[in-house]
Amino acid sequence: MLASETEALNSSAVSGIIGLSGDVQGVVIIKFPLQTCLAVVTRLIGEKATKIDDDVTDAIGEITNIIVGNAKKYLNGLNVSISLPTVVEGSDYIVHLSKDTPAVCASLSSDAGEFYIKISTKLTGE
Amino acid sequence: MVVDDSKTMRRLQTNMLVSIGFANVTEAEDGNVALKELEANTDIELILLDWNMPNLGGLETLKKIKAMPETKHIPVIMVTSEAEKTKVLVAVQAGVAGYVVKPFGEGALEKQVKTVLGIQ
Repeated sequence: MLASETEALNSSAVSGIIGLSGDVQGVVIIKFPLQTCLAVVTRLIGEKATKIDDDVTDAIGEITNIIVGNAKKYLNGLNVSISLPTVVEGSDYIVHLSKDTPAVCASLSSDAGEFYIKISTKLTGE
Repeated sequence: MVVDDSKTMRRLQTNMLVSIGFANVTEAEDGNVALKELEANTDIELILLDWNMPNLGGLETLKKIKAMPETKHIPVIMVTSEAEKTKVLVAVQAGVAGYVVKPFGEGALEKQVKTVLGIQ
């Protein structure tokens, strides 16, 4: 595990997870540290989010859905479906991915704060 | 009626519809609930419909709405993160009246609603 990924796991508060199927199979995990989580949810709902509750986890699921759904359009010519989002609260978890599927983890910054993305996918279509 | 599995998105869209004058907005968390609401409520004038939902998804729901004599006249606007042109084409072929990709900017959904309904 990369050092930055360990750091991301330790600092994340809410993660949105979406599976991909079809010509591309895999999973996308977006991890939001607490402050980033609350900041992006506040922007989405137009009201100040102050703690992790059902509304916040629902919003993070929707934000994950929006990010992955929009990214999918760049997979030109490939038929890809996305799952409904799963939202995980807390940082004490490990996602075990398929060994034959490469993965990349990146730390991203925004004006709402830092967040982390892990993409593990493989091309299965022709 | 707002059909979306996300409570957050239902609330945002309902608030927008109320702000432009819709007095009663029904919400449904998936296509099955939406179809049950349509059976019970014959006054629905517009449907905002998500694509990816559990139980019965948006495209299947749209096709069922357009197949029933009692509901086929109701304009449906897809409100979805599915941004590919192929998806838009499929929705248009299924009878959708409008298509808004999430995230939508302030006023974008309202503008689409007004365009579809022909109101100022």
